[in-house]
Amino acid sequence: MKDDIVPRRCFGPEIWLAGVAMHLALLAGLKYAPSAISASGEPMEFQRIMYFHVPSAWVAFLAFFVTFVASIAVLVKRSMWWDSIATASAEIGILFCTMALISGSIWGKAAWNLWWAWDPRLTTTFILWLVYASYVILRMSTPSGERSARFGAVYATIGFVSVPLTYVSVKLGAGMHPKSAGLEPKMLHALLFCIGAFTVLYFAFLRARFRLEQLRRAIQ
Amino acid sequence: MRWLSAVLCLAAKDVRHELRTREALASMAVFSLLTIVLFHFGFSDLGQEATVFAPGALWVTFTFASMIGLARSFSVEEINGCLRGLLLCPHDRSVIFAGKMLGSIASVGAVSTVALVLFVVLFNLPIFSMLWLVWIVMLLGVVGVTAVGTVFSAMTIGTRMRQTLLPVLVLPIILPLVVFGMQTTAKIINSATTGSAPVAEIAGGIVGMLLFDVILTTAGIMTFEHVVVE
Amino acid sequence: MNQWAYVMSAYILIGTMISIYGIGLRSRFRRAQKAMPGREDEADE
Repeated sequence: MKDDIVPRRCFGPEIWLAGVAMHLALLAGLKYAPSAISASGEPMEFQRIMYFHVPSAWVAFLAFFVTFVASIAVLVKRSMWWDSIATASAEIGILFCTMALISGSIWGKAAWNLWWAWDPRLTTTFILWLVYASYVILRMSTPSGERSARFGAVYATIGFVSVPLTYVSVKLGAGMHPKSAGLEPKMLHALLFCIGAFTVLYFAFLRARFRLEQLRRAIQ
Repeated sequence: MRWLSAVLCLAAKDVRHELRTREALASMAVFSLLTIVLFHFGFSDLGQEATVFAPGALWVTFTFASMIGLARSFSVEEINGCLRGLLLCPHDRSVIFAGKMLGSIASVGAVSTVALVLFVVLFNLPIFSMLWLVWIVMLLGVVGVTAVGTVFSAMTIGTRMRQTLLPVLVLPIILPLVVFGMQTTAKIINSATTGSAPVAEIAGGIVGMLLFDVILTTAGIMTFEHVVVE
Repeated sequence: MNQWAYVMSAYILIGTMISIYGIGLRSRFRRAQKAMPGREDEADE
């Protein structure tokens, strides 16, 4: 991602890799992985949502972590290159966070017959989404430039620090979100493959969004 | 100490300014009163027990009222280029942060205290014996909210949306503190009405809020200098 | 059957969101490229 010159294309060749991986992930989740069986012996097909839900959540956390690291770099080095990474990653993080929330909600309807529960992990993810949505609003309303980069970096840093606190403060109620219990080997393969595919897609998107940011910078 | 006297000087300037104009104090106080009226019609008029909704209502009132005060904290400095003058002072940036934060604590704390008393009177909350404890919990909340709010207030005067943006930025960040404050207040009110005293739980809540205040204030001091660089 | 409906709706929603974001990114990039003075002729493809 070292292209400092004005980018010509939006997506690099890695988007093809991401596309193939995502289609294989679809197969892994729907065909390769065996049906989950409930304690009473009935198949629980809705568990297949997990193969897209968990990777979405993973990529969301990864993306927000990248934004945090890039923001620290902006504050330390005053580098606009890192600011482009932070902006790009935050936006993609919101996309994947939204996907994790929506797929989780559908899973919740199937498993708990509830669209939403104020469980610590759900609540924290929701707040995480709100923090980064505020980040994007802040970036939109600040004329882009060095000052916008500083403001964004400050907000992303404070926001990232507050997330673990949110988790602690809402954890007082008992959680109902499933923990990663022992999965069958084939299920684990499928899940790990999907996580890999989503991560490749994240980097393909990150690079494209980064190039868009560089292009916008070059125009100014 | 030079640092402390500079901080106190700046805070005293803000307090004096506020006492002369009374702009923020008046709007915060009237806003709190209006919220109390709305909570009456929204909850107690519909048959809700005041002791049940009081913790939430109190914190909602004081959180949103403090937004008004914090929004003014730096917008007053913008007029006549006062902020530039402040930045030219031969002091560390942390002086401006601490002074501004202290000034906001004074005005927001004063209004919150009045709002708390009005709340207790207007909703007939039977918590007079525990009022001081609720007040302490609320002040702990004020410290955290103003720490975050001071940084973002300085930030929002540099954005297109100006102060409209402040609550959007501040509220997600202070959420853990507000949640903790509500829970602790609920426990205190509950113990005042039932007579039981879960001392350990209340003390734990207060310690937790203190911890949040320390973290948020540290984060504020560390990041503030990056906000006001000109 | 009903369970598959949940699975498919989740997968389709996620797929749609990814596609829309990708296509949106491409068109945002194109628009930015158009705003670039003297660059239109060199646009990709």
